[in-house]
Amino acid sequence: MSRRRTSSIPPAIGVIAALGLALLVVPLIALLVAAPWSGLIDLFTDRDTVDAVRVSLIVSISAAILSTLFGVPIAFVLARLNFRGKSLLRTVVTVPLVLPPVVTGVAMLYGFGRRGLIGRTLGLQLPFTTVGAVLAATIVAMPFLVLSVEGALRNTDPRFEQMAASLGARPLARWAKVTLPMIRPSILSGMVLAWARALGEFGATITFAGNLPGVTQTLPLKISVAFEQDPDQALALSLLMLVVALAVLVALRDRWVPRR
Amino acid sequence: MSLVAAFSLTHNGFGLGVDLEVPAGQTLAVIGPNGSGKSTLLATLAGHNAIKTGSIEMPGPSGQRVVDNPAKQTWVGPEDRPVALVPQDGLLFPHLSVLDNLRFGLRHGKGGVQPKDEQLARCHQALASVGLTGLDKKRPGQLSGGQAQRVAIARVLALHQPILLLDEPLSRIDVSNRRLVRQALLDHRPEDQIQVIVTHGRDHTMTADLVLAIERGKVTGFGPPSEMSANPPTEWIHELLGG
Repeated sequence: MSRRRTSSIPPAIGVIAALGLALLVVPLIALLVAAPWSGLIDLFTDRDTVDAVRVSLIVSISAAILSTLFGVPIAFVLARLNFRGKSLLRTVVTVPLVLPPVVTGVAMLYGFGRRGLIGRTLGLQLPFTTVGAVLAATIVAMPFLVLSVEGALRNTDPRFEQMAASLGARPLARWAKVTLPMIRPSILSGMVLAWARALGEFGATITFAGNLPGVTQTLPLKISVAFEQDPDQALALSLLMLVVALAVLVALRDRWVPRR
Repeated sequence: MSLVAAFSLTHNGFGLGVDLEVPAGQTLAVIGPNGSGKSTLLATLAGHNAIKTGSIEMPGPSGQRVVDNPAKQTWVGPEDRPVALVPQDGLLFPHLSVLDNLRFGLRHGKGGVQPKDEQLARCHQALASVGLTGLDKKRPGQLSGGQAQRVAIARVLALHQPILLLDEPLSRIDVSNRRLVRQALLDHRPEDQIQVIVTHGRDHTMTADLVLAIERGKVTGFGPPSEMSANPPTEWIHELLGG
């Protein structure tokens, strides 16, 4: 157990690392200190809160499922096909990762809004609906799934599919019985990441779907409203989201990331 | 019916030209230095590489001939070829148990056995023939290198295909089990099965019916092993078989 000897670092590096860590940890500790522990149960059973939790669960789970349904085929296209404009496609898919979500929301309004490019032609009524909130969350969450699955596909030896073919499996059977099961851990971890991102979604949702309690008001939106009216409630809800975030990280580390 | 292959192709910048005929029930040993095209030959026979010119004619499972001939546009995909392939590294599916690996081909129609219990019986029989009874529930990750290679061989033995393609099947198997596996390849072959075996072993080469030597993508020798060792056409063949 000579941990110190094998991994020694210059003291200055350690000090800087500690400062950076403090930047991350201090707010979290402050949250725990300030949380209204005695009134937590009342705050959690408040009707508005229950509604926000319900909307958040519906929106984030639906977004994770939609991200998977669309994201896995996109990842296959990116990983397995070679065509002109592929790098453009990858940019389009990953741009929500770096774009401010509020911009995504504005762009969605001009695309899928009542008077948007597609919205007008198809007569869509998406803004201020739960479906609209789901779509907003899906757009910002999907890149996590696509990148996770594409990476896994690139790391899978294509000869396994060839082997399946020479054992008689047709293309669809190869996909379902060999390729998909082999990248299953990455699909699951991508789903969890996408779900977590959708759960925390704020900017695109409030811009495109608004902030209607019981319809589009998710936990993050509820927290921002509560912060102005009832800071205790904002603290309690923040605590709830922190617990969820930690649970996701622990679950990802112990179960879904394959142990090598 | 025999396996007749006369073709040329370019694969990843590597050119391979081959002309061979193996009569039904015979074993062909393919020899040659590293990188001479032996594995490419097997992959091509299995249908993983497209040939550019020439043709490959294989005996089908029910007496018909299966022909791959680009000039006549009669391409046959790997899933429809009467062949079973064991690549050098076995390529067992890591997410399936040993038994499910063995059953994979039968489930997808190669081997022509429908009922589940018959499929299972074939799998257990094949597993027993390579000396691995009782390992059926293990995952490939739990096997040693030699065990994995034996499972990969059992996986194709269970299919009873007209043509068996084996790429250095004994390379990771210890001496005492080599005899067992070679016996399994003899005992478990349907009467007319053609076996094409890439090997670096002199013994394995000398017991084959025919030997094909490939060097740098070209055939440098083809004939019965006795002839090849008596009159080695090249220095390399002399080194392996002569003396």
